Amino acid sequence: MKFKTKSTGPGGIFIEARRLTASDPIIKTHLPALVRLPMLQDSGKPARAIVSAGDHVEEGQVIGEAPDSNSANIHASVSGKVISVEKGPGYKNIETDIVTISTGGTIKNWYGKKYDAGGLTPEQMMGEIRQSGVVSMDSGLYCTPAQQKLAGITAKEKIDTLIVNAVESLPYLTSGRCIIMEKPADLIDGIRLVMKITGAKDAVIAVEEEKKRSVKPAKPAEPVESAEPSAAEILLSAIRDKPDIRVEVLKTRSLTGRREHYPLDSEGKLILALMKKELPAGKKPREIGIAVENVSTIMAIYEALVYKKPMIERLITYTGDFVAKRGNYKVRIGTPIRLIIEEFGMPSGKGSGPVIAGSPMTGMEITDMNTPVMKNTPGIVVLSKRQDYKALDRPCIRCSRCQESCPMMLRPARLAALCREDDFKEAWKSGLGQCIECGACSYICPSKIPITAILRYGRSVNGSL
Amino acid sequence: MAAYEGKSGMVIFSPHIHSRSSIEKIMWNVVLALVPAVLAGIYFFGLNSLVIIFTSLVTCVASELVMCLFTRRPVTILDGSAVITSILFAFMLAPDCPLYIVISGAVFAITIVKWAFGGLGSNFMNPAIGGYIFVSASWHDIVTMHTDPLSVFKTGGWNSVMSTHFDNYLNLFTGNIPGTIGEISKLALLIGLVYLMVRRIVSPVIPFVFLGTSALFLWIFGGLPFGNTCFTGNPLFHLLTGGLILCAGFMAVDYVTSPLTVKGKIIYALCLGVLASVIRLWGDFAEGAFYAVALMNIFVPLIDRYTAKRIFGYGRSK
Amino acid sequence: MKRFILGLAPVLAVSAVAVTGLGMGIVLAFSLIISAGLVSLARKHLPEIMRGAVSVIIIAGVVTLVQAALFYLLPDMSSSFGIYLPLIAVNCYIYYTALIYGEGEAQGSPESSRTVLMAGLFIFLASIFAGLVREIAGRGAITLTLPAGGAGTLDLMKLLPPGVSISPAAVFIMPAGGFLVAGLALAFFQHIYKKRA
Repeated sequence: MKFKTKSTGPGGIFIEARRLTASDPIIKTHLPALVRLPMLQDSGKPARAIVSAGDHVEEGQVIGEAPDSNSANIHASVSGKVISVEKGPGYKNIETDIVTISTGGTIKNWYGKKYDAGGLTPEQMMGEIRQSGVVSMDSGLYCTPAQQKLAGITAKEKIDTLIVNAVESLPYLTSGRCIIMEKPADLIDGIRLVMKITGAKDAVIAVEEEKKRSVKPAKPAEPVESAEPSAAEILLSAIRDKPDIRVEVLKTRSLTGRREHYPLDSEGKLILALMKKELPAGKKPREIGIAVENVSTIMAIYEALVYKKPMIERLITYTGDFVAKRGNYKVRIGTPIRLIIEEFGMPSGKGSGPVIAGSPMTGMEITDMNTPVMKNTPGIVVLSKRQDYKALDRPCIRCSRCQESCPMMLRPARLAALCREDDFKEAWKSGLGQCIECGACSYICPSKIPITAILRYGRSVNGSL
Repeated sequence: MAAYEGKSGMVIFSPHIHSRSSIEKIMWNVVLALVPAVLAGIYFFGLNSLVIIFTSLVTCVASELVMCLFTRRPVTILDGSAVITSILFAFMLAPDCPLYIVISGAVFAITIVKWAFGGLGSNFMNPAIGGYIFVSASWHDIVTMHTDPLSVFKTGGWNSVMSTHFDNYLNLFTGNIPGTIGEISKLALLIGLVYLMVRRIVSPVIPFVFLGTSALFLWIFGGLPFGNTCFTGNPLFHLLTGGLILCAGFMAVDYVTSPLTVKGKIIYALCLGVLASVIRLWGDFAEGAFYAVALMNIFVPLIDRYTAKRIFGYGRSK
Repeated sequence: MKRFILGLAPVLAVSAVAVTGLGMGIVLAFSLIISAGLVSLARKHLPEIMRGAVSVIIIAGVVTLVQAALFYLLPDMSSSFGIYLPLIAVNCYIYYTALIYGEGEAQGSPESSRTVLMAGLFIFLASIFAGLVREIAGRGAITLTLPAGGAGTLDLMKLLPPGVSISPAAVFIMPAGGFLVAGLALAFFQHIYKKRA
């Protein structure tokens, strides 16, 4: 079936997306021997630890209370005994309390009972979500508590449309695609629930253009066995019967089809492609009546409402060019990365390089292998030494490649020069606020100037002013 | 892999992968694109051209080395930019140019035009053209050519051109004519230019607009200095003589001294075309393109400022 | 040690020939020192409101005297200076204001005298330097008596070994060359100051 593709506008670069794990099924990992749960895993306020060393906790028990209604609770992801509560790095390396639990005790089956989420009012649904600690897992490393993003009937802004970001824009990562392939019916139900919460009248699912990849279609009314793999993005024959959700295909491939367009999934660009509206600078999507959520978050909300399951595990992609046991794994939140690497193996010989939490374009290098998988970790990528990027920081030769590749039409080299001289006022005026920190400019710079890092620095300084 | 250390502390460093593009790749590809013209210069003018190009090369690289050490910066003689400058500068000289002139110009180009203003990326003007202007002002009679087709045309009109058989367009195109080392063989230059365009190192905007505007202007006004009416110029002759193609293809497109956006490049190339043609027709110099580029280089920051793209999200009413 | 780059116009204008560079240097230094001294003396004894005007008159007077003297004693030099000789008056005024008045030194004090003397010395040296460099590089000669190119000119080109023919770089006797030499000299001094600092 041929779909007409929509373009996300100028800018961006074409990179090899290395979706090595695209067809791998979701595998549950073994329970880790211990978990480390930071109290701050999103952009809200840190939770207050309500357990102390020696306590016994049950899987799913609240161990960190959100200080206000705009922050997220932290739940124990395994049953066991609390070993310690000590300080350590959490979200964005900000120091916070970390609760370490040694695993032992009962494993809960969350999927036994299905609750009727459809009967709840939107306010009740928001309350459930708040309780469950679900966070909005955006691309890269930023995430906000879900209730912050889902304004709607329960808040002042009126939402007309829900945009579902089913585009996996970050290279190497494939967890979103797994959800689409394995649980499309649940996804659609989740979308319906979110539509009810926000009061949106319709929803648009944005998928990417595919070549040679097959996605299982699924019809919610029919058993899954009748579905067959078919060509490109036919995900949502699921919605055939209900017209309020539509599927749009975004133009993501280069002319030869070998490379993918990056970045695709920033909110502003999605809204431009799908609704033909340009999100004004400084405004959030909900201020123009649009809510944007991505697939992992909607699944988490679905599980929170339908199975009353708090956020205790998530899907990550463990991958890398030379990793032996790649795959999409469901891991418990708080699993130290060291244990994942021990279970699935590190590449040897070829000179393995840095281990990245997230994708190589926007993620963070992990130096301490005890760092846990947090709510905002979409994957772990092991790069080879050859791929590793050394920022030589040569002089800018004004080749303007960064400018051509910036999805937000900025002039990254100039902004970086301004930030270097601490001229943040001028940088902000020239558009620093619109930077989505996608990394395209640094990727393409022949002088290997670490533009993204400098701009991130500039943005963080201005945020605190 | 270091994190960027700003005043407020460390910052997460990303991305972690790179496209493998580098300054060296760009510069050495340009040098490669200049090789056909180097070979053509040697073929038509013999060993003299090789000596001049070699002298220029050695002097430029040595000056670059000295300046790197003097300013205590990493030594960058292998990144190819000094080599490009040396070849382009040599291209603008006659094959019988005395070596002390070559050396002086090369030293001036690298030391003053490039390094005194900040090194790679900071020169306000194309260094090769800066060197050429220096030698052309200092040793005007020695450096200025009088026997190349353009000068013959300027002094004597079409009759002189015909009597010296410079109206043979094939010769003009392949380079079988007197002239400076690099400008004679348009064929060789175009091969290199096409290579650069295919490799996406040079955007075709500036060469096309520059040459197109010049051709148009010279067609319309080309006859005026000789007392003819408008629309009697010979654009093909003009395009194939003088350093126009050399300048438009390799000097006007230099990243550091040309505008950043496509709109800016168009404006820049338009002005260049007009200026170069005006100097050619009514100026004292025979070849105006180099001086036009030098002049327009100074205006590039202004052009950049007024042709910046509209930032996403900033709305149309800005 | 204070550094000023002021009033280079007369120096740049006439330093294309060595001897006029020398002459301008002497005239500038002399005018500066004498007029600065007289103005300091005068300002001490004048009410505030008259100081500016009287300073200008004194400086203009000194320069006019110098101009007249030069006209009778060295007419060739005077005519080659042209308009730049009266321009020295403006220069002296700027020097005075920047050196002493601008720096807040007490006028007539030993520090201010030292400043003016050093300034005079350096402008003299700068003028000679510019004249020599520009003429040697730009013409390959050193003119010791005017007219340039006449009997009193040392033609350095004759010193070259036979067979070697080098033309001088004419750009140095053009105004562009003047700026070039000024820039290079400036770079040189900046380098020394940086090393000292």
